[in-house]
Amino acid sequence: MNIYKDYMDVIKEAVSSDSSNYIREGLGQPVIQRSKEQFNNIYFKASQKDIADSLKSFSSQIGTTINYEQQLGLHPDFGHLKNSNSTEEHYIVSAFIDIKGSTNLFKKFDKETIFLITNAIQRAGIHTALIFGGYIHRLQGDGIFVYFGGKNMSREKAVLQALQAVSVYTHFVKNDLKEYFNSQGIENISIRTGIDLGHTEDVLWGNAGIGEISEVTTCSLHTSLASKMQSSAQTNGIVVGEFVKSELENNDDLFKPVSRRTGNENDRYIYRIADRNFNYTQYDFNWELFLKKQPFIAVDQFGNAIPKANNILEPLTVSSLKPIAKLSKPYFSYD
Amino acid sequence: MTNSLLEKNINSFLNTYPKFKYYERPKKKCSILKGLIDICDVDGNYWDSFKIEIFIEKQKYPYCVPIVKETSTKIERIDEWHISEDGFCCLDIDHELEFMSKRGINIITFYQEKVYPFFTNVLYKMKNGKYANEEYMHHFDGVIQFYEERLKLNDVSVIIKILTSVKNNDIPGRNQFCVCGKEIKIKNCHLGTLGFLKSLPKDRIQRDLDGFNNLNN
Repeated sequence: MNIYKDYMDVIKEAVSSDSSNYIREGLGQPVIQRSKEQFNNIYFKASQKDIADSLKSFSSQIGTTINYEQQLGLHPDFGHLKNSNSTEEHYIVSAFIDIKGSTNLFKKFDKETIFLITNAIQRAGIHTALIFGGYIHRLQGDGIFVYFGGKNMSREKAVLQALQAVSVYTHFVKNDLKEYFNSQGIENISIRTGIDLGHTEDVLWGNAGIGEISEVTTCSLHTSLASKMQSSAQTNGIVVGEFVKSELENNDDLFKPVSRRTGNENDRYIYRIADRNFNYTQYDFNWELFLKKQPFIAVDQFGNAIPKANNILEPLTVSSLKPIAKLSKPYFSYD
Repeated sequence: MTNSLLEKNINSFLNTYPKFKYYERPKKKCSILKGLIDICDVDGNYWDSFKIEIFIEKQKYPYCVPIVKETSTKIERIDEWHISEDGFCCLDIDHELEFMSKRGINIITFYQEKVYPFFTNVLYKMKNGKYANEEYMHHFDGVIQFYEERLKLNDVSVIIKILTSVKNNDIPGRNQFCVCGKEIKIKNCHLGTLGFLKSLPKDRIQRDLDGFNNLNN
């Protein structure tokens, strides 16, 4: 996706300035290292708060107002609970996005390069979540824990935006990132995501911890299940709970019980309470099909998902249409 | 859906292009794929979309030529845009489409090779003032052009001899002299052309023959 070009450029710059590219003398350490200034320049780009220009044009298609003033562990709609003894019930969509395989980077690069790469990947994830109205609750290593929804958003919209955000981000990791890392001979990096919806009566918001060692968080089976479902997902896959599925009407083609993939009926339910007859199903989410149905995505000649973006940076040129256009030679025979 | 190949191909199509919906229309001859065709260039940029309908003859599939209608009315309904007043699009010269249908089509390939390039070409002309790869002249002039360009035939009397031979199913063996009148074996002369024309419907051969005969009179 061209929309992640700026993030990919940071990664490429980090890789090209890695110490493994410099001349080694004998068996010793590299004689020339990346300069501090060079590192700072890349780090500056990798840590910009605002979304990168290449993603900005896409973001304008989505139309949400981006809230850059978020603080980890302090969802703006529940900030009043910070360091208070109050609690509140309110629905929330929890999404756990985990990056897999980043340890493999240590086989190839120095720690500064890995720091820059993982920062750029995480920043792309954070910005994608923000574009779709997400709230970044916590960063966990390379992973991201995002809440979708709040007091001024319907449950249906929160679910939809959560699925949209993780689908766009998974597409980036599965395609752009994979293509580049493969070209560099790096073992694949992938992501796995778990998403679940907790209804109001099942979610308790409150302050956890003490003083400044605290966060406003949720106590909910479905937040815990989102994390658990993440580990049920296949490479670059998304697993969702049945409450998520229920919010997307007439879209049964997008969901298949995990047990159908694994062939193991024990994988059908992510959680069971036998004496209450509570059996909660986990589903593989067909995010690629879902993505191609979204209004902000175009589907190209061969069925690839292409984000609709206003090309502010590079104006479109008709010469890029020509290779496809010239396959056609129209005729007119109607009377 | 009784045509199992059509069912299989439609399912693949809808998985690849989920912005389309399939309408089987049990009592009608044609089923319809309705949806949006998004035009993206080779650099991965999105340009524009057209609403279209693709009519497929259910019983004949894959041996049929789907008909494509543009319903977003973004294309001006004049001959210059190769579209009828009702929005039916002339994707290619009939001969090529009929040849394709004789061999059997796959709806995904048809979309990728005929439908998508047609609308990309329309957009190219909207932006650039002309088609990327010229166009066939209208009506029978286009047929003459096709014979010249595709079949390398421009001598009307030779065309008539060849068409007559195809029409009467009177084509000699590959090692005999060619029907064009040259004393050259068919296999070294018009074998390919005869093979192509033989696969066209009989009424197409008759219409072309009538057209070329008219030119000679």
